[in-house]
Amino acid sequence: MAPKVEVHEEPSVLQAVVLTECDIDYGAAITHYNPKVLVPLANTPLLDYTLAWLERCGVDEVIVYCRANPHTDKIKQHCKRFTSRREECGIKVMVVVSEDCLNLGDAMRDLYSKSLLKDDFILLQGDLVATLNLQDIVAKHKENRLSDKSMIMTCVYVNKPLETTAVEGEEGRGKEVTATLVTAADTGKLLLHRRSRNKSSKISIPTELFQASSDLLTYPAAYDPSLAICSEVVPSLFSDNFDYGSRDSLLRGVIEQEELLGYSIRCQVVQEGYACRASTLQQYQRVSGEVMRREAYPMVCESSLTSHRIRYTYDPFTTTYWEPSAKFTKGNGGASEAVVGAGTEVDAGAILTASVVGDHCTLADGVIANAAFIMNNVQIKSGCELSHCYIGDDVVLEKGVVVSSGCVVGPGVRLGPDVTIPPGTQLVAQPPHHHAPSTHPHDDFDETARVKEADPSICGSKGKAFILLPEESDQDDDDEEEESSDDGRSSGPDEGDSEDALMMMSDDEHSENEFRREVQESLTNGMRKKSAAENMVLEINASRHAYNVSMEDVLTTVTQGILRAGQTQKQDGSTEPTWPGINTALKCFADVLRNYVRKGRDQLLVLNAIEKLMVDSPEYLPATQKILFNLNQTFEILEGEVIIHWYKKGGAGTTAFTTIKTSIAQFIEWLEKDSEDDDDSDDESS
Amino acid sequence: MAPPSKQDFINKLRLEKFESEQSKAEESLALLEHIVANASWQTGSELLTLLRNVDIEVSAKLPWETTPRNMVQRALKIVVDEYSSCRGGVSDMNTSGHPSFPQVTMVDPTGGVELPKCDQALPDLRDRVLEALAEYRAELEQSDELIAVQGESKIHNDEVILTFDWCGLVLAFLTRAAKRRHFHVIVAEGAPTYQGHRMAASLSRVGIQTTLIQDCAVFPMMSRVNKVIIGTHTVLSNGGIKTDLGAAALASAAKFYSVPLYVCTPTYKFSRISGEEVNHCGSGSAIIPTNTPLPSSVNVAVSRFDYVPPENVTSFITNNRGIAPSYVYRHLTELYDPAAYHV
Repeated sequence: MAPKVEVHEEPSVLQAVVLTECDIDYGAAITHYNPKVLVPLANTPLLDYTLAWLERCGVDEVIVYCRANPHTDKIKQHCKRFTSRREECGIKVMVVVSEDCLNLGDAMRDLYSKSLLKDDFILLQGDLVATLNLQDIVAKHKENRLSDKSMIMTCVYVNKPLETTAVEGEEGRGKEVTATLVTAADTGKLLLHRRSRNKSSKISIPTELFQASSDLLTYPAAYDPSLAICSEVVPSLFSDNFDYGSRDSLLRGVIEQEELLGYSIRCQVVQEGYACRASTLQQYQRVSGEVMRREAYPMVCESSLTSHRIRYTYDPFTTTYWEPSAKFTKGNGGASEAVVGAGTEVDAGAILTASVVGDHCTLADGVIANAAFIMNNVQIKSGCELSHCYIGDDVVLEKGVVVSSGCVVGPGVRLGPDVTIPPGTQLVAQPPHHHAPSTHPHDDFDETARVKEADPSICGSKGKAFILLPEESDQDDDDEEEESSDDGRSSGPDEGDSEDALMMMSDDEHSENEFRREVQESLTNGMRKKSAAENMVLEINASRHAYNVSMEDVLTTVTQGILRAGQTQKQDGSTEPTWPGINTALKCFADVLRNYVRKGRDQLLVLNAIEKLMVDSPEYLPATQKILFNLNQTFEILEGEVIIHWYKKGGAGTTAFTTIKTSIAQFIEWLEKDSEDDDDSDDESS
Repeated sequence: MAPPSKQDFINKLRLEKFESEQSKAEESLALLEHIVANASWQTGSELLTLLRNVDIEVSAKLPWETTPRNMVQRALKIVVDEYSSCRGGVSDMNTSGHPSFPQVTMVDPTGGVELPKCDQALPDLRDRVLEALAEYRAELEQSDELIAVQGESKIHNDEVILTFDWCGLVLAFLTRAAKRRHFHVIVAEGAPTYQGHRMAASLSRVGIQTTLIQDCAVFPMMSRVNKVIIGTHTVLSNGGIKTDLGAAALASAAKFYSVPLYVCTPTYKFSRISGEEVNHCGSGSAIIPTNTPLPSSVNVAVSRFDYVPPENVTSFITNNRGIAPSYVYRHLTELYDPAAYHV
């Protein structure tokens, strides 16, 4: 735990860790076929921008960290191709694959256990396009570290003008990408870090910060490119605190427990240079435009980042780039900001604005493409209109197809003629059922899975496409494991619709769901294995710390979990939870529940939890009375007085209470009578 | 020091790690020497191909970097010359020391010209080429000095000299002249890199009276200027120059006032490329101050080089002699082999 500072005699190797499983992705219609980091931005895979930048900044060794999934080989091959161009003098790229890595914390823990990190290293996401001067930043980090041994990490932020950040939609520039920072002006020590969630113009700063330091520097919305220079302490810190999932949680932990841990974090807010993550599709569009406008100079479209050859002809007056083999006339029909790949034919009547066209595509007369990202081998026939959309490889659009903004057309899809795709639709070539196999029986009732034939009203008479619906959130929780390994997703908000819904589920909600799932799992397992109560409590507590859940939520979750555990065990075709099942579950976990119920208030929470469970699944209703009776009499977890009190107060006030009321009226009556003569009831129950 | 490798050299070029054209020239010569000395080649033709590969690679990746390419062309010429003199002057081509003028004009620069045939394996070719390259290296290392010594003969007392941007060669030239002469230098600042500021600081440090002006203010200043002395990035085959932005306006102003414009350049900057063939585009972020909100619909085009046509250049001050723009082509035929023209 104590910081170990070693004296390095050998020349230090500057390492960088690139995480390819970025916390947010582009949705299954894209990432099912191609990992996010290999999605081409201006006809160059995103990962190349990161690698080229690191190379330019003199980084010696890059660790590309990815989770084992079908895309791992693609990433490996890509990195191999990238380095083979450089012979012996280029950067070394090492691909590290891990079986179960859900977030940044897991990656750090894994790298720590593999002891691959030797010294200070750069931690970044694979979707970052940047031209910041890393050498200066790292030098400053090392200098700070020499003078202050407790400093373990330097977070890098970019101070961008607010005007440009506000332009591109609130969603894309939302809480994920900006942070509110308060730093000590003299040292740059980070005192407060907050994701700017609310749009209000006020920031609350705790007054004790003013006591500690006389000069505070506040950045209301610094752009966060998720870039940090970490010392070797950081991975060990992650591994000591297994509840640290993301960098944010590390920041929070270190800042809040400064006295305890004795560590501090500095931040550098960089004014010069370019840095932007193509984290969501909106950000992708934004970064793509900025790369075309050469803001990421010297990484510009015309020179290939792998071979460094000049591959495109560039016309500075219309900001268009085209491969010499492409049929594209300069200033094509008022084209501006366009990239046209090799062998592509763009008819003189087609208008391209802010668009990228890959290799070997055909764009017929009258095609209007505005901010369309067209991959390779795509055929677009006359009269098509595309705006703000992503068109995958080998797509064919017949005449008169209109693709509205926010659409993602997956590889191999055929559309048309004359159809309009509503905004935000994700289309894939195979029925969604096949590519997201699920072992859960209720999936069979999913309507989209049933549709084996393409619906001509959606994709047109010659079309072949299926709508990929954004997954329901509760189903998500069940399927998460499989889906994430299938689609190369990370544990980030798992909503399917990347355009809008990504931000819908807040971190808290998400971690709560995650926690619920984990508790449920351990309870079910515990019941099967007949685990001892202490072990169960340990397991639940571990999950609780990992997701930072309050005691009350734990109690609610555990109560409901126990009742559900009874159901799942007895489920053999019928979903009806049976009393014997619940009874065994209660017997099994009475000690677990007792461990959490300590005060009278806790008992109320248990009652409320039961009531809420009825709201979700009314099939428990018939058993309510028996549950309460057993909890009261057999296990003596709930006191009779508390139940009566709860009953009279009207429960938790949910819709289910009225029905519960009638079903347990008998029990309450008996309880009331019972409490009147205390001595008798004690005898009866024993 | 590690032996020079092609990959390293190109990486260094790409990352703009060279301080000056002189260091680019010296390092590319070191690379070529390394190839001649260590690569496995038997005949002259094999060597020529090896050398030309460097040229091809640079031109594919960094077409605006002319100096290393000129060095390769020069080395090719040396190899061909040594080869023919090895064979006792009897060769299958009619190279007899200096190619005659009509022969040069017959070469079609656009066609894919084959390298001259040097198929025989000559045992002492390697040593002779290395010797010649060493000679050339000595010439290269002296070139700055040879130009600088001409300073006092070109500048007279109480003259007003206008220069532009940073150029180490011009600085050396003026510094040397200042030892014997007393004159005034006006420096145009050279936006957007503003290397002119550095130039002005260096000049005043050696005791020269210096005035710094904006680039766009050269015209009003020109009426009192006696001479314009600038450096360049490349001398083109037509006698024009490709140099930092702002030079074209400066040269037209000088032409308007009939002020002579001298270009200080070592001979290795003489290039076979013509006109403004290659322009290298920069980024808008170079000219727009950070944190300036500019809507993305504004198209910002930034170019890196300026072209000064030959009629606006009075003379080149080189390490050999003064050369008029109209004689550049003649000088090129002496420097490079006509058959290596195509790249």
